[in-house]
Amino acid sequence: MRLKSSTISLCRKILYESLTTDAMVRFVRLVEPEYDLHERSGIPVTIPITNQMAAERVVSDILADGRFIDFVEVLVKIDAEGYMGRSYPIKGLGQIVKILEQDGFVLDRSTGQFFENTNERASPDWGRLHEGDERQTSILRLDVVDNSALVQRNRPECVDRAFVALRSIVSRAVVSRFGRVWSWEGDGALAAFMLGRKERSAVLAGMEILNELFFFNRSGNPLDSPLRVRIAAHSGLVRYSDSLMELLKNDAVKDAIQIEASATPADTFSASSNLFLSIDRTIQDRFGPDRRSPIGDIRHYSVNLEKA
Amino acid sequence: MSVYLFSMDASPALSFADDRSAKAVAVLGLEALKSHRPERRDLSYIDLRGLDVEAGRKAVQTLRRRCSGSSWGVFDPEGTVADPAALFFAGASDYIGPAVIRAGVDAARFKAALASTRRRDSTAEGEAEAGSLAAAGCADGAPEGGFGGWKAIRPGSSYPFCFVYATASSQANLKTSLGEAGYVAFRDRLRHIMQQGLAEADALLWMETDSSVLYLVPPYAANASAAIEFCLRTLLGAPLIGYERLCLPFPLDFTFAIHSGTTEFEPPGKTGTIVSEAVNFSYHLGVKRAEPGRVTISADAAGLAVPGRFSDLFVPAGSFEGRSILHSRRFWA
Repeated sequence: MRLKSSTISLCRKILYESLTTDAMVRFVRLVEPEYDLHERSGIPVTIPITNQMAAERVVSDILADGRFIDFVEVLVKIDAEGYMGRSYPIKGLGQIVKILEQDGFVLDRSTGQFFENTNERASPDWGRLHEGDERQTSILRLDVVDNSALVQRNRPECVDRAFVALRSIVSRAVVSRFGRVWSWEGDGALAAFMLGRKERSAVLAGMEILNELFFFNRSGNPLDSPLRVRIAAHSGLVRYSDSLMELLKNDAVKDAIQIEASATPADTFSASSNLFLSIDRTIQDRFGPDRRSPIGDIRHYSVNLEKA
Repeated sequence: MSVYLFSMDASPALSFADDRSAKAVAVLGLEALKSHRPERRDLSYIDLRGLDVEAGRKAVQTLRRRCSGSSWGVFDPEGTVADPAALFFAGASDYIGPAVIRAGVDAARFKAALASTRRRDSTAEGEAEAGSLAAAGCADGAPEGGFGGWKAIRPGSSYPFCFVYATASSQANLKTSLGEAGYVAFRDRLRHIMQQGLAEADALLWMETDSSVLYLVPPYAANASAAIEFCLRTLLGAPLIGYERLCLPFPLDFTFAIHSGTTEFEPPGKTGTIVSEAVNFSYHLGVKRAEPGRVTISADAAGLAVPGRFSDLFVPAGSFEGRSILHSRRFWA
């Protein structure tokens, strides 16, 4: 992330006016646990570092390591809630938040995280991840049932229209919940939720896609038969990469694909049980009971109608 | 769905793609056309073979008259119709000419014809139906032309409308669970969601009580069906709306009741003096008969508001205050 020199100066000023050197280092370690100010600055441990010098070094290191947004998130949280029972008011932090908002980010107060303003852009890396970053991630996998038969039976323009509509449904459900659609293959999608309430977002997005398809199949579907999908969601550690091939090597991604392919009937959304830990009963009750899958327990959601 | 073919020939030599398609067509003599009463989803054809131009024109006119509420088309194996497009301008849903007959007619053809009628109905027929409702409004003293949009509406005059009653409930008492301030915030958020959802139906929030709302929807099929789609979407998406958008820790149920009729119009907030059978019925239907998780709709409104694509979602639910009603099938997990 590139910042103007005036913004960098402002950051330094905010830090040295509000925090001691020790506090700065403590808070940087919340983002980079191994951070060592003396080692990074080359100043021996025996020589004390002034607030100004520490602030200059910290800001420059945080920027070089690509952790600026993570660090601002930590400062926002500490400013609001304090740290270890002590209050740390950080003067002028609002100005930094404003600058990030001008750069296309939005601070979600409920999670305390910055997200790209999706009205402006929706990058696959959320505008802040780097190659190799490892994060707990919820994966959503979608596959169109009998795609080959659909393509053979229907005129190409009808197939195109149906898939454009499906993409729009999936994108709306995913991006509006701070997720990203990482890939659209011929007949399926791979989406990820790495920030915010990722488990909840993946589950709600899967439900919304099936709900929307219920209406799409009744009103806008140009195909000769309903557009049917299988959806699966799973959570696990994912190492981020700009390359789709690298992303597909992650176990969590492989597991999500396997749940979709081997344990999900048509018109059904399978969510692995590890997603439900942080989800309210109101939503859990919309899913069926636990079922076994090769990856572990899963639960199914589908749109069912009372019998006529 | 039934397919009728009126022909001078009792066994016309028509080629069908398969036996099922051939059996689906009931061939009747031309004399039966005068007493023909098709259902809404039926498809009727006139066979022009053996008819001269004038007789053919009259037969088409008769068919058109008899099928005013259903789909119709023309079988023209000899290609005698000079301008087939004129038939479509007159309301036909299909024209089966020599090339189509040579290729063989199948059931998909009939379905496609019916589908095109449905599409047309959702726009043009909607205005026609609104016209008939508007005419009813005129009889009760509405300005000439009936409902002409919210900007042209005149307080004190009667208009035809579609009424949408809505309420949200929960197993726990909402007010007790959320507290007074929380309940006010909940209602504000819910009102916002409903306003957004009903924007496509051009609905007006007309009356609001502590626990329910009544929207006026313009009396056109397109508006009424947009309103019913919103209701169905809300019922299916209730868990997401309650949990994600309203931040409720417990399940929320929605109840909808829809009716159509004529009422005097007054602006929102000044409706205290209105005495209207249609408004009373809408409220009674919503409060006394409608069930959580369903859209309950009077038969009067169903004809206008339930498009073919949603018709299988509704089942008869008996009668209420002398009117037949239907309700939607529940969604369940």
